[in-house]
Amino acid sequence: MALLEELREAVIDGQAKLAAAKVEEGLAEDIEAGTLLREGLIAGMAQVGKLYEEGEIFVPEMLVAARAMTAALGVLKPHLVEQGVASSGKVAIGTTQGDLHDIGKNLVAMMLEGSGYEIVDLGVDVPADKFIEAIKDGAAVVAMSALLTTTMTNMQLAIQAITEAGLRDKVRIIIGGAPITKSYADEIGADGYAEDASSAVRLVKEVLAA
Amino acid sequence: MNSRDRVLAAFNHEETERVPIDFSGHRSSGISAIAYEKLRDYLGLDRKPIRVYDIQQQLAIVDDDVLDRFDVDTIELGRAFALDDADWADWTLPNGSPCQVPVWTLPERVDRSWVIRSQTGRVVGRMPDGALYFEWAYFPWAENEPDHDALEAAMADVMWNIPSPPGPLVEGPDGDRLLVEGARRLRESSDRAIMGLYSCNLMEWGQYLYRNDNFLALLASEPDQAHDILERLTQFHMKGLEKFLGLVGQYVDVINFSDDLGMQTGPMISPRMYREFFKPRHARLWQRAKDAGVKAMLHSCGDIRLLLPDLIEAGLDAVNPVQVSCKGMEAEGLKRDFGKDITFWGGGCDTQWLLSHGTPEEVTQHVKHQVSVLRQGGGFVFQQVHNILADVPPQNIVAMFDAARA
Repeated sequence: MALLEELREAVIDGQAKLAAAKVEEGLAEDIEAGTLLREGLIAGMAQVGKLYEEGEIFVPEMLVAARAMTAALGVLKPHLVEQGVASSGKVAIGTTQGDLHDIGKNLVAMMLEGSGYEIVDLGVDVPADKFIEAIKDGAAVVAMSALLTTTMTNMQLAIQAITEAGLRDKVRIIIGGAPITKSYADEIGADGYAEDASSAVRLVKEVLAA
Repeated sequence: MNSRDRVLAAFNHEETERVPIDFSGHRSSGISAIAYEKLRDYLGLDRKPIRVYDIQQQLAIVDDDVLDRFDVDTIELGRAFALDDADWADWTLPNGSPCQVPVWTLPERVDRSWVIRSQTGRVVGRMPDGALYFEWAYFPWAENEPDHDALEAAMADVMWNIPSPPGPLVEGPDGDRLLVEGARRLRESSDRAIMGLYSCNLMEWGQYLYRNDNFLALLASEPDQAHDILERLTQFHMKGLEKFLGLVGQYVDVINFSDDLGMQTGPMISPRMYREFFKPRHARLWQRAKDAGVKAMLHSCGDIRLLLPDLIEAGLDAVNPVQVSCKGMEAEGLKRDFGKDITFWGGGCDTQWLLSHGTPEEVTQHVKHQVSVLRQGGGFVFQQVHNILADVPPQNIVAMFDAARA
């Protein structure tokens, strides 16, 4: 369908107004909201992730694509709710306690939203009890980030608190941030680590399927 | 061979009997006040109030006894100033230890946080309880409509505009004379290489003003606006740089330019985007320093390997901090591919993991390896990859500097 192709292109090129207009056009043509989401927005963002991983585009281009997706999703959301289209899962995301660096975290949130997940953005400097509350509210995944060696250790404390609250088996926990490695994720008992926003999307899919 | 000669020999790609060592020569090779207090205790040096000269990053002035202990070859021009007790105010570090800060940077308590204000009185930086550094609290053009004509007013409301010494001590009618006198005094009293911090950030100022994500998006979606602000910033920096060099260029050995361009996994922007927006402007600024007989060093964190050929072509003498823990930034490959063309100022010890979490033996082994690779044919100044953070054990710091000089 030409319109879906145009919607994907508008997202990939980071044209927010055009992407939103294409969603409206699609809705006016009675294309189902779920189709516009999956075959337009999600497919477009999947291509963006691929181009980023291949080194064809860099963060600025990925950011404007994610913003175009967000604009289009804003138009689409009421229709998704109305038509009962379920999200792929709820992800609670935040930077760890004491850490205020949220550029990477925000990019991960946008890429996940563009892949069909519902995002609960807990912001920066998030204490463990906020994550616990989000899990009780149905978050299937907790995503934490830290940029500093002095704050990354708070991830371990958050995981301990989640375990002590008896919720560890109800949630998948993934972590990221500049000083984080796969082995650190293993060491502190997280379910996974991703090195950038694009691989975080793949990781969420993997941990939810596991 | 004195310290200055040793640093300049590195720029000339000459090997020296030991590698030149930078510690605290600029605001990304320093040490957090909390770690510094522990280091002094460990070395058995007398207790004195720690002076935190960089409020944002909580960096301590490293005293002469420690600089001498580690044979440090650099000194920042700022150390020539704020020598009077009246320039300092009492404060308390996040760990409860007493310290002093420049009077014009004294933080205030607001809502379970320390805050710092710009000269206009706006809260521009915030350190919530539990954190160890100040972070941006305000981005002028994220919250208000960008107005490029009001650039200087907007710059005044950015956290990084709160200066470390000399700052206001060399403002006013007598300022130029005081700056020159301080620089001359330092030059006459120290044979360490003098670092002038005139950072001329372009990417970073765009990010401070617009906020990081907005500025990166602007580069991709509104190139005319991005060129406009970057050109205005370049002209603003050039004017200040010319004045700075005119006053103290003869006393300074290296200008520390700064613009973080990398992330853990690669550059923030494509080489094409670097060439279009930044390279010609960086080249103009760096050339101006070189025309004054001063070396041009750029501090740029992260994995910037893809950009190195362009940085070299734009005339850069040295690149810092050589973040060796990033993909593509391993010392061997960098030295092999770019070692003849540029001086690596940094990369001597990983700070993202090893310096904080390794054992002294692991630090020793790692540093010896880094130095043996990077010193070949000169073109290397030793520096740990970034500031020594609050959690770094003193044993590791001593192991690092001892291994660097071995």
